[in-house]
Amino acid sequence: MRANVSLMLSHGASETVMSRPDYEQNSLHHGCLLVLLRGVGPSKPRSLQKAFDKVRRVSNVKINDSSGITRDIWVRYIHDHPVENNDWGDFQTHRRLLGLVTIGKFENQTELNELCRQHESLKVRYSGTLYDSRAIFFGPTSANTTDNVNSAGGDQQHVDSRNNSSNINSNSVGIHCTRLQDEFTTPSNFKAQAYFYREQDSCSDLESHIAEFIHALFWVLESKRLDRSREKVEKISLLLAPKEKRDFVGMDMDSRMNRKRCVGRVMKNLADLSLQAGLVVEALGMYHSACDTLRAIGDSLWVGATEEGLCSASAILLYPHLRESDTLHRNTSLQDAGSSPLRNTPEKWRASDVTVKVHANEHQHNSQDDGPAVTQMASASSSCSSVSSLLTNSPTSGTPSSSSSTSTISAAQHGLRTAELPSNILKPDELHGYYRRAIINYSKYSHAAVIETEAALKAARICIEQNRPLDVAMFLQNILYLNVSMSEPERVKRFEVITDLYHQIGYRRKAAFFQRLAALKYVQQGNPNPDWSQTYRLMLESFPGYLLSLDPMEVIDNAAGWPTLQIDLLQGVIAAARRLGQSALATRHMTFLLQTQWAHMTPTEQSDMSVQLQNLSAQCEGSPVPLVLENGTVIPPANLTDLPYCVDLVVRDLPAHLRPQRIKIVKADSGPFLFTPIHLNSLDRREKKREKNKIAFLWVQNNLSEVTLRLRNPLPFELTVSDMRLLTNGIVFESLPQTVILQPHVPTTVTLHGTPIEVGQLEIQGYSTHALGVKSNCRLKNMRGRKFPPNYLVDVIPALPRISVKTSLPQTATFSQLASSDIVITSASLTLYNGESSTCIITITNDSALPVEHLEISINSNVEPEIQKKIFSIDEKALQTKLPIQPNSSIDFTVHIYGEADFICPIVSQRAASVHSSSTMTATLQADFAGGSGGGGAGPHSLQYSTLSSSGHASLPSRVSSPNQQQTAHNRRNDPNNLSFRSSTSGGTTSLAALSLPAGGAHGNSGQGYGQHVEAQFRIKYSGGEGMQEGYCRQCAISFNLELLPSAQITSWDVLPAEIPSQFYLVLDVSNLTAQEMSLNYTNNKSILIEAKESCRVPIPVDRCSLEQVVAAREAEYAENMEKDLCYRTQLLSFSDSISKLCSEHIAERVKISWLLTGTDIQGIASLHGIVLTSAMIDLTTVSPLQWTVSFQNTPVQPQSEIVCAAGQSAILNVSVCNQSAQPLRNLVLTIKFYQDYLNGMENYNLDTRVAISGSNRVSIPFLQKHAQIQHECTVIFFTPGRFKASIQCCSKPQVSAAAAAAVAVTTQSAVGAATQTSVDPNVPTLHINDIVGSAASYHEQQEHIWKFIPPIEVTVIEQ
Amino acid sequence: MSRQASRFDSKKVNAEFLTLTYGALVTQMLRDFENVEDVNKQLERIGYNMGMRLIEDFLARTSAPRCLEMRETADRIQQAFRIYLNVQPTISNWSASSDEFSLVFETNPLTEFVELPQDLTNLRYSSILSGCIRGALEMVQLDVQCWFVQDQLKGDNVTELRIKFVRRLEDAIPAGED
Amino acid sequence: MATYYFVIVGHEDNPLFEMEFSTVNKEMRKDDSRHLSQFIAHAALDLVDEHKWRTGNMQLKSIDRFNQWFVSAFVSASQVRFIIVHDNKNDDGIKNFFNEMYETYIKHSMNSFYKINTPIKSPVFEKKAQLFGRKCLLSL
Repeated sequence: MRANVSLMLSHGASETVMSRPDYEQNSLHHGCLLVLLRGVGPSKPRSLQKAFDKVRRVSNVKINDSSGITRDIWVRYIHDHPVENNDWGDFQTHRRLLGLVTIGKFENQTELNELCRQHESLKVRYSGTLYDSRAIFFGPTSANTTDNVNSAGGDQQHVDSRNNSSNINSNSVGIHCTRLQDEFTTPSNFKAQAYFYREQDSCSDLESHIAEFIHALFWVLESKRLDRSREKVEKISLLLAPKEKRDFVGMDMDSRMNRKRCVGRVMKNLADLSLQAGLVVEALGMYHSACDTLRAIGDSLWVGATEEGLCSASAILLYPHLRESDTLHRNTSLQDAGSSPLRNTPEKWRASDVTVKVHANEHQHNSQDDGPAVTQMASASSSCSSVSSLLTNSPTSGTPSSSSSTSTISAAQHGLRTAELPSNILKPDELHGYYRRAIINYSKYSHAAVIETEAALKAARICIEQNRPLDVAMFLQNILYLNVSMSEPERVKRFEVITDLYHQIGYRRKAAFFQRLAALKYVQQGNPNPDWSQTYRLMLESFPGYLLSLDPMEVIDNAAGWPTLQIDLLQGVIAAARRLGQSALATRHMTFLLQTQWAHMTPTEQSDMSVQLQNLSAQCEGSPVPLVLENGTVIPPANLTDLPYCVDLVVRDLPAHLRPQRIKIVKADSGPFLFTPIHLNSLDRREKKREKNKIAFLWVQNNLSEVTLRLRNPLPFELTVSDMRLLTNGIVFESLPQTVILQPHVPTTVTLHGTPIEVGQLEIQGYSTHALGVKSNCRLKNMRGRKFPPNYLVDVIPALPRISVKTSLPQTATFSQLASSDIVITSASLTLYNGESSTCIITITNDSALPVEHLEISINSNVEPEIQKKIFSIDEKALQTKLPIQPNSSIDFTVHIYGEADFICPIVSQRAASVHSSSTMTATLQADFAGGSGGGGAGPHSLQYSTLSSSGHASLPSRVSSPNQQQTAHNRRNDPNNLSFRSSTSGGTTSLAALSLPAGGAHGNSGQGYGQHVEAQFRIKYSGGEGMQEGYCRQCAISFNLELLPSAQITSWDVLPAEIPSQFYLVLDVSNLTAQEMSLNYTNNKSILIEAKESCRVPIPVDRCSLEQVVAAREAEYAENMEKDLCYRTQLLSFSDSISKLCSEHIAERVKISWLLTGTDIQGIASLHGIVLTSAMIDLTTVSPLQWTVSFQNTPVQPQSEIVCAAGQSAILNVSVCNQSAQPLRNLVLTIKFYQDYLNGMENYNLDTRVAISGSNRVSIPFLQKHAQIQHECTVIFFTPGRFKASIQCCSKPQVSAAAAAAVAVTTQSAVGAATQTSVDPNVPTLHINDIVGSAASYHEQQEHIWKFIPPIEVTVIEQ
Repeated sequence: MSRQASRFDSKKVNAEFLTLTYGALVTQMLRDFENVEDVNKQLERIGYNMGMRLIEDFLARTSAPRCLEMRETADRIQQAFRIYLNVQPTISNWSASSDEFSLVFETNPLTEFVELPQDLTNLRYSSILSGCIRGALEMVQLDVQCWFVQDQLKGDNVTELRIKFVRRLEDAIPAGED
Repeated sequence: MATYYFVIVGHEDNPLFEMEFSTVNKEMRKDDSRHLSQFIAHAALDLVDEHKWRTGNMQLKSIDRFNQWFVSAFVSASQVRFIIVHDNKNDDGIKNFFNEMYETYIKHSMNSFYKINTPIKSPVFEKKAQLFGRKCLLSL
């Protein structure tokens, strides 16, 4: 015994302090037999793994001891065991290595020998403590046997998996052993018991062998225990912990106190043994007593040991399921690593733990139901399942299977199981107190640091079980401050263990902290062999702790955590990945960093990172595909969504001329009501608002479409973005790559093109880029901080044809001001003289692969439709016949253009009216004077006046002056006096003078008036192919600029009697406004040359307007007037107005003046549309209602007939008038006047000395019935020979007063004015009355008329 | 708070509450129309409309005679501030023609706790006050201009509100802008 | 010779305001100390959260430590966490500092331009923090 001690002491001297904490240890291991399970030999194929698992599975054996009590023996297999730990075997017996099992594979004898040698050497190494050992050898397979072995193995497995408490069947064993042992023999020095197996052998009997091995161990242990228990109190020696000896040198070993110490320690030792031997309750008791004894003497180290022992013993009873807990917790921690960062708060963690445990149970059930399932399972779960099944299958085990369900109800368990539990057991809430004290006690002994560490870990594990996170934290905290002299790897390991435990209580942030420390330690300077892969793994695992997840979008959405730390961590990860040479990962993480942390970085950091990324991606280009690590972790793609930063994205409509539109525009019908409260359109609009991602317009299949982006480069250096494409979904879309170089910070607009290949709905999700060497998919839905919809939806309609258009005319420089000018694809310009006509050939080419089946052309312009019709004309039918236009072929058609214009100098006509009134006023003035006093005094004034006024108009076109002239003329005829006569001539001259002037005047204002500019658009709607079936078409336009130059211009006109009553002369002043000589063809045979800018007067004989037409027109209008009169008493048109219209049309259609610019082929026709006639003119234009029959000397006078009579002789002049008009004529005055025409514009009416008329030359006819006829006869004597003329005329005087007459005069004028322009005349009211009166009266009474007998009679008087 | 009308005390409102309410209003407006200038206008208008109502109440409870000259008006305004905001601005910086003066606030209950962010330096946070004055005076036929010369929010050590008489409005009461 | 690292931590473990106080002048202090302090403060959050439910008191004393650093915390009514990482014991100073900063924080959160739970970028606030730091912690 003393020797024993001395040996111990000597050993103690040599031994080094235990320096490797056993981090996996938990309280329950105090009750386990420690067995080293070690693979030996050169090759350790996976095939052996099965064997390892099988062995491990045998962790619990029930043994009936001598007294027949069932002992529940637990075994703890470890892979490695430092010898020096055995030195603590007296202190805590469970630290002793009791058993050894080696597993090895050999191919030949030598290898076998090697295996044996290793086994032996291990035995020697642990000889101090080893009770027994086993060797398991796997030999080479002999082909012929394997199959049946396998088959045998197969069902063996079923058996033993069905009841795991390994019942032994030995037949297969028999076969193998014999055979293998025949082939090979173990060396002589090999004492251990060995089992031989073929490699693929299911080695079904292995469990039984191991169980038997454990039996062996137990019995040795039991004997030791019994020895210890039987020791005599006085005999027992002092048990020592390593390094403890020196405390006792020179101490009285036999002092009372020391005896106590010995007893206490032995008691404690015995308790340990009993605990291992399955006598938990006994152990408890002994621990208690030992504790008391030792505490009394203040043997702190050992008190601590007893206290820990107590905890262990209690824990074994309280938390038996902890035996499998560590594997389970590893699972949970794995789960946490993968899971979303936000979910593992302590509560959550517990939840997850529960689920796992339940999971384990399920496995267990499986294992009971069907065997094979077990073997396929992961080793961890299968082992635990087997264990749990053991628990359940063993009736004697004190733990109901429910205990393995969850930790949170452990307290309850305790409550309900107190009955079975011994009274001296520690209550759950005492445990951590005991542990704390134990640890404190350990801490007093410097060499026990490792023990202390392990104790703290055990305590922590228990507290986890008891759900006391704070205590866990406290214990773990404590571990850090133990200065254990340990190797770096050990320190790292310590951090990892702590991390793991923090994870278990859901302290992800703490866990992350230590994870990071561990990670750094792996690679810190001075570390001989830095392990970057570990660093990488740890850092990745610590993501959740910093609220990071591998998925960038998740990170961005959570927007949680501590940016600085996150960035630091990411940089760590990147560095690790780079050191590992995993450039793909490095790039990925860098991209991730840029994507998620951009907002949290300073501009300089941003650019630095970007540069780094560029360098990384240089080694391995990044692309948006998930990466998978060896451990199966998937690293989702990261995208540089905001690099460059997309300011906005606009889906572009097709260019206007390609835009599809409905062939027929369907009106949104608003029901029967004109105004309905229901606004369908507005509703639609609201629809659009609701889904802003729905694009309003359409794209067309096979038609290049575009999307414009505004991109900003947030980096301080130039950024090249290559291979930009649209990301689309839905129908097939072919998008063209695009490369842009973005200057720093300046927003750049980029247009991405693509072609929809199919018809249907296209979903635009975003775009893909290749920037900084990284391919990214930038999806709208991932772009934060902008109001982007998740996507844009565009409808694509079937393909439509596409045309190009050419014209035969030159293009215009000017842009058209017309609406929808955006659809214009070409233009044409043309210059024409008024009245000239030309053509334009338009060529339509079908550029597309589809035929153009539908084509319609519409013209719209800036002139009124009817004028437009006159200017442009297209032969639609001819065009339609040319359809369809086959692909790549073309058609052409002609547009006829005519230089339509108003040849009757249009602008000034408007001024005319106002002038009229003034001039007429003068006229009436004269009338008054005339009527009042024939006094000549007033005459000159009035003359002056009129001449002034007329000369005032002189600059104006003679349209004005000609009626004016009329006025004066008839004045003169009212009261024949010379002044007025001369005035008339003067009036005449002014009007003549006027002729040349207006040309210049007209030319002067031609700038505005003439040279008019017509703008038109030929709109072409076309369609074809499927698009047309769908009812779509396209529209393009040709903008057409037509310049109209003035050519011939009618500046003034008059109507003169012709030689024959059926005709009259239209006298026109035509001025040539062109710059060239013009030949004017004014009747079918007559033509005249006009110099440039000159004007000349041409007489044109025109047939008179027949009476019937007049009558018709009058009737029509009379009716109309009556109606107006009845309905609304608006201003009525005077009768004469309709007649004048009639007449002007009459003239317009008869008179066509064609002109030709001499020396060129430019020619045209001037029409007289819109010519305005005064009443006097009208009288001449229309056939007169009176029919004359004049006879001289009883011979009827024929036109142009020569009458001769002798002077001095009387001759009879007989005039008869017959009314042919529709209604009677009132107060006509028939006058006969002789005069001499000097043929120089002078006419002498003062013939009193030369002619005498017997009988009145002035007959008044109050009333002339229609078709009535009256005769008048008078005798005339010529005194002197000569040529005389007689003007015979009949004038009708209205019975209205002079003022009224004036008014009437005004009426006509203003009416004319009204016809040409709608200016409200100041004296409208007076008009009213008159017109209404007039409307009742007949046309002839309404105003005065003069009907002459034309031509005047011409009498030649000869001498007798 | 000057105790003209005892019915005030019964329903006094906590200053913080007022401040927060006003602050919330302003920030919300900033969120609604992005443009700061618009917010300034709107605040001024709100004040204007408030003033047009308040004046009636004010005159009613301080049965004050009609002011004959600007100095009296100034005193009234000062009094009004005491009644409604429980602050006593000092009247100062009269122009020579005494048609223009300043109200100087040591404290402005509206801007308690408020700090203007960098990007909002052109926000006239308290322009509701100037609007209020303008509106009130307009109701008594006084057309005035009213603007901030200094503002504690802009780092000045006092808040100075400048009021300038423009003209008397002979015509009838102007229509409200609301 | 004392250094304090003060941080206000928002609901998503996001720092709202950071500041360091030290008797040692800047260049003498090694720059990574702040970095480490941040990590320590972050790690301590688990304990802060654990403690804050176990006590009605806003002051959480010194709840964690790492090497020579202690972590003291204060939890506001709205669960905003004030944390100080310090390397020497100064419970009263820290207590007062927390109280002062809490006042300041309340005032600042009354500013309707400040969006709750976002970083505090107010010079006034910083000045106050500096002041109280010097007064309570460094007791200069």
